[in-house]
Order: sequence, then C-alpha cells, then structure tokens
Amino acid sequence: MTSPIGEDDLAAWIDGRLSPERQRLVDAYLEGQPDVHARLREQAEQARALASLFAPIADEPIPATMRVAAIRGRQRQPRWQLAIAASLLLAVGFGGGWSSARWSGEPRAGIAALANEASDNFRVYAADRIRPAEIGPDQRAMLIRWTSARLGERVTIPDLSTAGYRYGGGRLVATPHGPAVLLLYDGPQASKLAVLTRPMQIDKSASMTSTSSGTMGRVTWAVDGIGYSVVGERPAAELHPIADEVRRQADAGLVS
Amino acid sequence: MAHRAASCRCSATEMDPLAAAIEPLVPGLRRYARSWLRDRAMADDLVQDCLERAVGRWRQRRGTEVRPWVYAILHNLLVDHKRQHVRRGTAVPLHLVDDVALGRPADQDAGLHHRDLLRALDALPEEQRTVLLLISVEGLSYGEVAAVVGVPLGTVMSRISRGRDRLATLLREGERPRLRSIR
Repeated sequence: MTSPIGEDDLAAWIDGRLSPERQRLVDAYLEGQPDVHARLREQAEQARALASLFAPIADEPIPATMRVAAIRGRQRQPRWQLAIAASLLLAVGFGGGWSSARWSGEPRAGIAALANEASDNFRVYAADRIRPAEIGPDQRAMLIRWTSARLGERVTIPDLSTAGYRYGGGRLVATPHGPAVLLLYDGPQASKLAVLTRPMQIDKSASMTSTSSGTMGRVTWAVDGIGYSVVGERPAAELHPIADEVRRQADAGLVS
Repeated sequence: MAHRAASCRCSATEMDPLAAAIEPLVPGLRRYARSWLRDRAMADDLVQDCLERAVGRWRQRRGTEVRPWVYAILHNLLVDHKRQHVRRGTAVPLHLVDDVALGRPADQDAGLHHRDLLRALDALPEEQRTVLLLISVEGLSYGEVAAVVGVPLGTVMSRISRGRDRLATLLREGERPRLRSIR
C-alpha cells in the first residue's frame, strides 16, 4: 500500500527533497503526465534562477558589527557604565587638551595623522561650492546607515546649533587608514566647520590635542577606538568648546 | 588518551558556541532581508537588529532549532517594517534599485531576465513570496518554514505550490509583450 501522489510530493520533486522510494514513485507518475512533468520542470528551472539571482548577496563579507563578539561587547556594557566613562574622559580630556596645547610638543602618530586627514579633507570639501556634501542634511539616516556600515561603527551626527553651526551634510572620505566620515557644518559669516571620524588603530584613546595647519585650527582626540577631529578656519582654542560638545554628544550616544 | 582529551578540549574552546551557532547564518539572513527590501543598508539594519535580539534572548530559546528561530526573528522584523513602509507609502520603485542593491552589474541580457524575475516575485502575494524565498533561496526545510512563518506544514505546502504556479504565469505574461515587439 502506498499513499497517492500529492501536491506536497510534486513540490518536493521540484526541490529534490523526495526520499528515494517516493522519488521513484513520482518519476513513474510523471512519465504518464507529460503536461504536469513539463510544468514541474519549468518551475524547477525558475526556482534555480531565483536561487542564483540572490546567491551573490551571501558571498559578501559580513559587516564586523554582525559578529557575535561585537554584539556581546555592546550588550555587556551597561549604560550607566558608559555614562561614567564618558564623564571621566570629559574631565581628563579637558585638562589634557589644555596642557598638551601649552606644551606644543609632538602629538602621537595616530592622532596627528587624523588631524592632518581632517585638514586635508576640509581644504578640499569645505571650499567646494558645487557639492561639498555627498549626502545632504535632510538625509541624516541614510548617511548614518551608509557610513556606519562602512566604518563598522555606529556613526552619530552631532548637533552643533548651540555653537551656531548648522549641519550641512556629509560624505565618506578616503584616508591612508581606511574610510572616514566627514561631517560639514555651516557657521556665521559663511564660516565652515568639519568633523572627521574614523576607527583608530594606534591611539585608541587619546585626550584632546589642539594643533594648527596654516590658518586652520584642529582639535583631535579618540575614545574607545574612535578618533575625532574638529577642524575650521579658526584658532584651535576657539574650536575647543565645539569639540567638547561633539565629544559630549558622541559619548552620550546621541543620534540625530 | 591524554593527548586526545587535550586536543578535544582545544577544539571545543576554539569558537564561542553562540558565535558558532549564529554567525554561519548571517550571510543567508542578509540575503533574505535584501530579497524583501532590495535596499542594502535598510536590510542590513534589520539583520543587525535581528542578531542583537538573537544574542540577547539566546537563553530564552529553550531547545528550538537555531536556524528557524533566528529566521523567525528576522521574518517578523521584515513583516513589521513592510507594514509601516506601506502605510507611509514610501516604497522605492524596485527597478530603480535592483541591480545596485543586489550587488551585480546591470549586464544586458541577464539584467533583463533578472528584472523579469524580480518583478514577478514582487507581484506575488506576500505569503507565497515568503515561502518561495525561504525554500528556494534560503534552502530551509518545509518544517522550518512552517516554524518561521507560524503556520501548519500543510499550509506551507499549498502556498509553495500556488506561489510557483503564480510565478510561472507572471513570467509568461511578462514575456509576451517582448515577443510581440520583436515581431
């Protein structure tokens, strides 16, 4: 006694998921049903086309943020811990930033490199009158998604309106150390400001350092492996309060 | 004996068991999300969300198979997302994003064929499209699909049959105008 051929058998025939006994039975049935056989063959072909259509997506390397270790690391750290760490760093950064500015000594390689990348990109993009930003200020979410995926870190867009700077869009830029995000701001009297952010390999944590390049001031630091450099056509000392605000918002994880 | 015991312990601690269970699923999860949304960034956002939930709720899983459990989390996120999306009426016309989002060059012949296939797929009722994608693209078993979607096995089987018939019809309808234009 065998059970009759069913819809489920035909579906499994298409997918090649029949047991050997059932396969023989269905094959024999299809011999006598050329129309059904043709239909199933056509549908099997379409199923294969569908699989190959989407197959390349699974070959893409997965973002680092999707590693279980990365997810666990984020989930293990309670929010209050982050808040305390942020306020400590803020205090340290304040003192450290000022003193290193006074020493005017050589800043460490990682941070110094980041500061130079910031002013190089500022020189090119802030001066651009046609298209300074790739993604405009009205598409914050898109910029965050895009650049976060490329950097493997959650990117935030600081709101600097209290300092008189309006967010004017951003873009992904190339640096010798990989991709970075350049955020552009428009200030009073057509003045410009930019924040460059990227993951840091060398200075994973560094207090605020003020430097200058020509007429440009730069305030640069790193927290938890992420480097920040605030750059503008102003003395670095004037940029310092703005940098503090950027850091406060980044540490608080404020996402606009 | 001592040697063997030592090497066993080594390989067991090589990879975190949670990572070993979840990470191999990530490429498929990204593919499933993108087959729904076509927008790489948005799809990856939902996969990220799914993974955060899976890691956070790992202990509440209670013996369920890992693959259908994780796919079910993502599937529910996709359904919710789509519902909000449709309500807001912000769906992106799919032909504009196909080639880019699927990560393939828009090559002539294949491009046309892929476009037909995508259009037919999108014209299917959601419940049929879902089982078609989970079975033919993700390679889930019929039982796993039933668990992901939360319907009996028999329902999965009839949805897959109806879905395939409908897809074949849609593809034939799509072909006709082109044949006419050649003549």
